[in-house]
Amino acid sequence: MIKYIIKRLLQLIPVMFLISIIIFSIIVLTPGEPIGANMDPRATAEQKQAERERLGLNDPIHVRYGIWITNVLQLDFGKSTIYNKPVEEVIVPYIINSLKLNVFVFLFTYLLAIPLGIYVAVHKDGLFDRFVTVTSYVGVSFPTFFVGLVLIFLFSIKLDWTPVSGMVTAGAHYEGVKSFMDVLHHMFLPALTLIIVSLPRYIRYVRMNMLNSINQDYVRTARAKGLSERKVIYSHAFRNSLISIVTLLGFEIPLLFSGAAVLETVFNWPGIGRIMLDSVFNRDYNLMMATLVFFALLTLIGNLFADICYAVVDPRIKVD
Amino acid sequence: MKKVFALMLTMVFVLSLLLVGCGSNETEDASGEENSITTEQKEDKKEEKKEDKKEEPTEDPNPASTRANAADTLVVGMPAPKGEALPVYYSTTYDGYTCGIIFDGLLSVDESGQFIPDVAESYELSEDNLTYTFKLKDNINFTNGEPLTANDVKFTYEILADPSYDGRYFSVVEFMEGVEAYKNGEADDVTGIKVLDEYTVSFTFTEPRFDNISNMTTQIMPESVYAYEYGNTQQLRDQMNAYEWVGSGPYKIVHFEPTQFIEFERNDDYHLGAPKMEKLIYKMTTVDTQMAELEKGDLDILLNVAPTPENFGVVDRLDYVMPHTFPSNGYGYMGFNMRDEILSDMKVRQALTYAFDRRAFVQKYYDGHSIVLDVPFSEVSYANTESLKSKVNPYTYDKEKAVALLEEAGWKTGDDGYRYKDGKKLELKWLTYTDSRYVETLIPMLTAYWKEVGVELIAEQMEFNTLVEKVYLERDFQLYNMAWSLTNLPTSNYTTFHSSVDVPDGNNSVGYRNARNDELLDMASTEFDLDKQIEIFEEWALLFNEELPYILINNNEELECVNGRVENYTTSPFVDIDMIIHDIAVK
Repeated sequence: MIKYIIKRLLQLIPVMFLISIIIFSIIVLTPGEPIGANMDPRATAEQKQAERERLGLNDPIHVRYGIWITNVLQLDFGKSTIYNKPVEEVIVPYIINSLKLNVFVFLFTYLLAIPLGIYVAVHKDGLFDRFVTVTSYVGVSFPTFFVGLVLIFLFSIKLDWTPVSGMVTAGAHYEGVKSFMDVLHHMFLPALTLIIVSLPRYIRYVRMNMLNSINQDYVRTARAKGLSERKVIYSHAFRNSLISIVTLLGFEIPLLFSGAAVLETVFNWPGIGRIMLDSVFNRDYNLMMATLVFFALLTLIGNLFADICYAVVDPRIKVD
Repeated sequence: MKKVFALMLTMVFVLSLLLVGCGSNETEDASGEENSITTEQKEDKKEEKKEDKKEEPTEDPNPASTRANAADTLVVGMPAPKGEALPVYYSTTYDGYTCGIIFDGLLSVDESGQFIPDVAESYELSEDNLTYTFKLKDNINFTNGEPLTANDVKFTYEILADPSYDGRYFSVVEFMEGVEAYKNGEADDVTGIKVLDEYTVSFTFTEPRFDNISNMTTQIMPESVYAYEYGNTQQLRDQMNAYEWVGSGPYKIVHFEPTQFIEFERNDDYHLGAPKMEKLIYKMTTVDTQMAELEKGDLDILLNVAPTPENFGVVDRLDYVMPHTFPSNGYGYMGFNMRDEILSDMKVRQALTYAFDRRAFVQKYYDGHSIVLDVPFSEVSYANTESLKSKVNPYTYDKEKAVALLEEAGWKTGDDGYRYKDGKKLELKWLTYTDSRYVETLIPMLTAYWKEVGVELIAEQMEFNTLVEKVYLERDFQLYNMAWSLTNLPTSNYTTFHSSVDVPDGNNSVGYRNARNDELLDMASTEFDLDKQIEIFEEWALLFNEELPYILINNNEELECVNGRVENYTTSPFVDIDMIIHDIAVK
């Protein structure tokens, strides 16, 4: 197993290398440039040219990539042109904030989706099943930010239970437990929005895979040999649909950081998704590269994680 | 220092703010980002409620008054600043608002756009119009207890001339005597900046330009706090990034929480008198939820609200929130590429202007909250005189005139209804930006109006950054639209329309070249007699009005929302919140 993991991790290196070349090319070939925002509005053409020279924007693309990758290999991600700070200093706090929100949402969604998905699969075409089907269509067709705004109207303005936006109470100077509770209080609405929007989708996913297994011959056999329904569902049907659930889990790991970009903007949650959008609109190449490569890496690691889990949940899959 | 922005390129990001969150937008908005909280409007009740308000102001509870910190804290909502609150480094307006309340400049600007002494007690200009001498007030202390002296002034301006300085404001000192030598390391001091005694300092410029004085608003930083090694301004940036800024302004920083809020505490020794509110919070808002926060009473003042009917609707519905409006110092326009074969013909440019009912567009989009502009000055500029307004051609919508002009220019109607000349169709490509309701209203209207006179308009939308590159760097366009935000001086038109800025990256992207235009702009920029300068600008504006390098579209209205409990809120086109913050009080 360990050998397998090491092998897979080594395979990541050439893949990441290729991905970084592709991302870099796309970013650099997109029209627009990072100067402007930080330039004097009265700057002359020569001054702008000098700034481009300083940032290395005039070099050919392979030279620029060479410089970038050499620096990255020495763990120097360059300086963000928007923030005038080293990229890692900019993104680390935002990554942590995104994690706070998304880990919470992720756990909640999975913990709810799996039992509910099993329930609706077993009670197919029941009232709750229909309810989930309808809400998942409604959920998919409403943009996340709209759901967010409706919840703000309801919980913040009408009921006055939660703050409208932000992550902390301005000027309150909470410490310790109070500060933690304050963040939770602010997290309630964005988390609820995300859960409302994604939960029905997850339930449907679990349901579909459960139905697949329930209709298999081995389930019929299990029932025929007189096993209890409970045992049939959990040991036979559910165990076999775990593979696809684990696959989904692997794919969702990158979403822990990027999934809520739009929502982070609506609720003024200081997360990484928003920083990424900002970096794209401002052509902050170093910041963009760092965030995109980070997401690419997470996706690959998510896949690896799923592959490892396959072996755990399904003894038929041999990793060596 | 905000006022030194010469014709700042305004990012008319509009609706895109919905996605961007606008944390780092160097320049602000213009034509109005859309706000999505429209579903909650109760149009029908609006009118009645408004009337009730006048008679019984206490009928509806004001949620801002019952906020836990209501008595001593003023909360101002705005898009997130980056935390670059040093006068030599800030780049967003909102960082500018932070600088403005922590630091003071030699000069400030009053509501008419005139420069007034701030840290300076008085100032005078030498006979040759080259040297400004400032006498400083001798009773100003920085909040670390050190007095503000002429040395601090010199220190601050020399940062801008440092060879390692990488902020935005080199142009402030660019034309001061001895800056080059200092930058190259040949001199220990900038010879143009002289400390005459502890409280007297003079600045000598190399050319007698009228707008030299606009460089005298840079806020003063204490040398005792910010001293750095020559050639290593990175030390300043590092200090800035610790978020503990020290100045002499009305408020002191308590805490900066990136993207969330900035908390301030009053400076009791402020030289214009202690601020009325003990605490101040700048709370970061997003366009999606700003109106909800206002409604909830979390904000006392909300800045930078798009003047759209939707937002006015929310304000009208809330009894305890008042709109505070004034014409902005800037305009939206459409630029003609004057190097283009078709558009180099003045008659075509005039015809296109006549053929577009700008008043109908402004009425439709702004619902009356904006005015059509005919000269490239904002409505509030001193150069925009009554005399000029009476002489200018308003290009009122006139289809016949447009057709006649196109005929004169040789464009004849073809079988398909479009105009042709020498077998070439009158087809124009217009580059514009995406995610903007302003643009999305403009495209169908303009296309339809111009089709009426046989012109085919093809709008091509692109992301704003791409548009900037196409227009300013590559100059590869026929038409484009953007907005300018202006300074308090009309002389800044030099940096937009003079032929010397008709270069790649220069502001004169449309390629406007006219000998008289250059002559008048040169004259105006060195004319210190205001009446004479206004006369020169009148001739210049009339020339512009005839030549039409731009179709000027509109002069926006600024909308700020103010809770009814706030008193003495007097921002205006030239006076931003940071300049009057010490006066603001609550009921």
